[in-house]
Amino acid sequence: MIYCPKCGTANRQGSKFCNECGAPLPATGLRCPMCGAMNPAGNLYCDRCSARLIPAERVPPEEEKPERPSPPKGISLPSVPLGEEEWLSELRAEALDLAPEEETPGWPGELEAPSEPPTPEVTIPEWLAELEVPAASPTPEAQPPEAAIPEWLVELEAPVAPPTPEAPPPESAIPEWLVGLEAPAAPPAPEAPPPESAIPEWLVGLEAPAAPPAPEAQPPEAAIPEWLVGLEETVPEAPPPAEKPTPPLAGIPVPPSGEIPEWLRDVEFAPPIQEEPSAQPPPVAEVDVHAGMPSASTTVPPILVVGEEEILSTAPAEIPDWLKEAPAEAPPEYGGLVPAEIPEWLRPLQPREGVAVEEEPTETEGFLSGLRGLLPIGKGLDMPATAQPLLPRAPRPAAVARAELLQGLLSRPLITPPTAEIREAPRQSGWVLTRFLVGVILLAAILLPMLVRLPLFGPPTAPTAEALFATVNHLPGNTPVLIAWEYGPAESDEMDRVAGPLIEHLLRREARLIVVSTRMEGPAAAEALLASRLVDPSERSERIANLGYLPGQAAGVREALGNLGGRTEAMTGLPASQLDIMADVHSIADVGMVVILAAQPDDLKTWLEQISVANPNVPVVAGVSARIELISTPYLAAGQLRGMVAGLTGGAVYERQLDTGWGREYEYYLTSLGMAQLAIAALTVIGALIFLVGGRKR
Amino acid sequence: MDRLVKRILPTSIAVGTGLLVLLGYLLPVPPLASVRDELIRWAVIIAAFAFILGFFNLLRVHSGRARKPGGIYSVILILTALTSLVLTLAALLIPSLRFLGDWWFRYVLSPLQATVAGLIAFVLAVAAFRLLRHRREAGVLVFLVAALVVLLGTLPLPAPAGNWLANLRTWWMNVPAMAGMRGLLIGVGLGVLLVGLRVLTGSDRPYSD
Repeated sequence: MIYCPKCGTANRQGSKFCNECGAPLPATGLRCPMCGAMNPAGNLYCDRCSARLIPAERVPPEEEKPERPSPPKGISLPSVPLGEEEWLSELRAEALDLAPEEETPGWPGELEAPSEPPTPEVTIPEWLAELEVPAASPTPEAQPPEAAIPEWLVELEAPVAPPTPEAPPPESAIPEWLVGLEAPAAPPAPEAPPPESAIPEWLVGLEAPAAPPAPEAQPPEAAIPEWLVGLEETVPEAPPPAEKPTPPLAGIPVPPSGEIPEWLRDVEFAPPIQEEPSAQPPPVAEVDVHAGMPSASTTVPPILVVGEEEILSTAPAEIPDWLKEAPAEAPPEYGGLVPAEIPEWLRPLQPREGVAVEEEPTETEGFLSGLRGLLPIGKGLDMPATAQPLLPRAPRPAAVARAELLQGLLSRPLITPPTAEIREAPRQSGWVLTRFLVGVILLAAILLPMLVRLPLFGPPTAPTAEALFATVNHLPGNTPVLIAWEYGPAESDEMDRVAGPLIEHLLRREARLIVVSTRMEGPAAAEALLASRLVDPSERSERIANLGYLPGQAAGVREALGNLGGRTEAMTGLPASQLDIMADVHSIADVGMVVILAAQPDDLKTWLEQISVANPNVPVVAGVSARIELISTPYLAAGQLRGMVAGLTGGAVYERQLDTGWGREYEYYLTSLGMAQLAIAALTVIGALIFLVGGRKR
Repeated sequence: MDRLVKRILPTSIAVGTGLLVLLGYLLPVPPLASVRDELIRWAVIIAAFAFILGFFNLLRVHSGRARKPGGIYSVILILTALTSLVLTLAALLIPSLRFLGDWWFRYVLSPLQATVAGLIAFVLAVAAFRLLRHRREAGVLVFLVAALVVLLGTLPLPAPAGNWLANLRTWWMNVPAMAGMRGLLIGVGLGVLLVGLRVLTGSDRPYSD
C-alpha cells in the first residue's frame, strides 16, 4: 500500500495519484534506465529489456541496516533533481536506510569546530545557510560542463561558497570538481569545541562525538579510510613539491577519464563507515568542507533520501598527509571532470571490453533499410502464409448452367440492332391506324343521328331530375335564387343542356337570379346561356344580376355569401346595392334557394361546405355534369342537396317535364351520345378480344 | 433576422390568422365574426392579386420559351393572353366595346375549350381499345366490365335489355361505386382536417421555404 503524503489515504500499490485527494503519490517501482519501463520494487533486471536496474556493487549488508533517521529541520539540501531516474532515488533511499541513526555524521560537527566561536543567537552557521540555497553563490571558477558531471555531483558542487581570502587556491591548480571540496574559510580549528548551546537542536544529533583538534599531526596510515586508499595510491605518481605550499587537495590526482575515485563511489553508495572517532582528530583546518560537500577529512557521506529531500550524512574521517600536501599545480588535464566519465557503479551497465559485441541486425531491404536495432520478426511471422489447398468439389449445376449460358452468349456473333426508323415505322403505322379507326368510328357514331333519325333509344329516365323539378315548381315567385355558375366553355356543351331547363324553369317561376362564379370564364358562360333563355331581353335587369367572378376559392365563396350586396354587377358595372333585384338581398340569409351548376367535383364541394356554414337552412339544388354525378349522390342522399339534375340525360328529363320546345335538340344530343357510347363499348370489347387472342405486347 | 423574416413572422401570421378565423366560426359572436370576415376579405384581395402576379409570371416564362426551338406555341399563348386581357379591359372601360369581348369568348375561347374537352372522349376511346394490350390483371378486367356497364347502363336502351342494364347500372352506382366514393370523401375530409391542424400548429408551412 502507498500512503498519500497529503491526506494519508492508503492507495493501491502502483498508484500514481491518491484516490482520495488526487495528490501525486511517491513512486515505488524502479524505472529502467535503458527503456524507461516501470518495474516492481525488488526487480534486479528490467522486465522489458532485461537491463540491470540496480548496480552490482550496491549490496549493503542486511545487518547494518539502521533505522531511518529523521531529517534535520532547517536544512534543505539539494533535493532529488527533476528527471532523475527513480532507481537512483531508490538507491538513495536505500542508502539512507543503511545509515545508522546513532552514527551522527561528523562533518557538521567538524565544520562547526573550526569556525569562529558561535554565538548562541546564531542557530545556523553561515556555511549551512548557504547550503539552504543551492547554487546561490556559484564559484567564480569555471564549472565543469553540465553534461560531463553526473547530476548528483552537480548538486554536490552547486552550493559552492566563494573561496576564502586567506588561502585562495590557484584556479589552475585545483580541479574544478574539487573546488567544492575546498573549505570556504578554513579557519583554524579552535582548541575547544563550541559550547553545546551554540549548536542548533537539529544539529545535535549530527554533531561528532568529539570535535577533532587542529590537525597538527598527520593521521596514521590506518586512519585512512578505505575510500581514500585509491587516492593515496595515486599520490606518489604526482608528489607535491615540498618547498611550495600548496592549497589542500590541489594535488589530488584525478583518475583518468572513465574512472572515478573510490571515495566518489562511496559517496553514492557505500554505507557510512562504522568507526569510532579517531583519537587523532582529522585535520579539519586543512580540509575544505565547502557548501555541503564532504571534506576529505570526513567520511564521504552517503546521500540520504527522505521523501523529496536528501541530505548528506557524514562520518568522521581523517585526512591523509598527501592531502595536506597536495601538489601545487595540478595537471592541466585535470582542470575539471572529464566528460563522459562514468561512475564505477554504472560500469556494469557498460558494454564489456573484449567481449564481442553482438552486432545488431541491419535492415537491408524495404523502406526501413539501413536502420539498425529493429525488432526481429516474431517466430512464425517470417514464414509466408500459405493458403490451405481447397478440397476438390464438384461445381454446382446452377453455376455450370450460368457459365455455359455466358459462354454461349459470348460466342454468338454480334447482331446489329435495327435502326430506330425501321423499328419505329411499323409501330407508328399501327398506332396511327388504330387512332384513325377509333376516330372514324366515333365520328360516324356522332354524325349519323344528324343524317338519319335512329329510333334506337327510348325516353330517358332520371328520378333525381324529377324531384328537382318538383322542388323548383313549388318555389314562390320573386324569390332571390343564388346561382353558382361553376363551368366554362369546355363543359358548356353538356352543362348548358343541364342548366338550360333549370334556368328557364326558375325564370318561369319569376325568381330573381343572382349569378356568381369562382371560375374566371363562369360569368361569360352564364351570360351566354341566360341571354338565350330569356324571353324578353329587356327584363334582364329586373331578373338577372351577374355579380361576376369570386377570387379566393373557398374564401371568396365565404366572403360572397356574407356580402352579396357589396359586390358589383359584372355586365353593367353597377353596385349590387343599386340594383332593384338586389334591394332586399345582402347575404345568403336573404336568398330563397341556391343552385350549384358544377362540372368539377371540387366546386360542388366548396359551395356545399360554405353554404352549410353560412346558412344551413337554405335549400340547395345542383345541376352537375355526368362526370361528377357519382360524387354528388352522397350529398343528395344526406339531404344537403334537395335535388339534382345530372348530365345530358337528366337535362333531357327536365326539359321534357318543362316542355320548353327544346326537345328535338335534346333528342339529337341523346342519340349522338348513345351512339358514341355504343361505339366506345364496342371498341373496348373488340380491343379486349384482339389483345386477349393475339397476345400481350411488351 | 433572416430566420425572423422567413420563418417566425410568416408562421406567426398564419397561425394567428387561422386561429382567429377558426374561433370566428366556432364562436360567431360579433367581435370574432367581424374579425373573421375581415380576414377573409383580406384573403380574397390577396388571392386576386396573386392572379395578377400569375398572369405576368406566365408571360415571363413563355417569353423565355418563345426564343427556343418549338417556341411557336409560347408565342401563341402570349398573344392569346394579351388579346383576352386587352378585350376584357376594353369591355370594362368602354361599354360599347363589350361585343368584342363577347365575340372573343363565343367564337374563340369556347370552341377551343370545347375541342380540347372533346378530345378527351377520343383519347378515352383509344385507351379503352388498347386496355388489354399491356395489362391483363384482375383489376383491369374489373375496370373493363364496370366501364361497359356504366356506358351501356346510361343509355336509354329499349326494354328488356335496357331495363336490365339500367337496373344493373343503378345497383352498380348505388352500392359498390357509392361505397368507394364515400370512402374517398371521408378520406378527403380527414385529410383536409389534418392539413388544417398542421397549418394551425405551424407544422406545415406552405407559405415559407
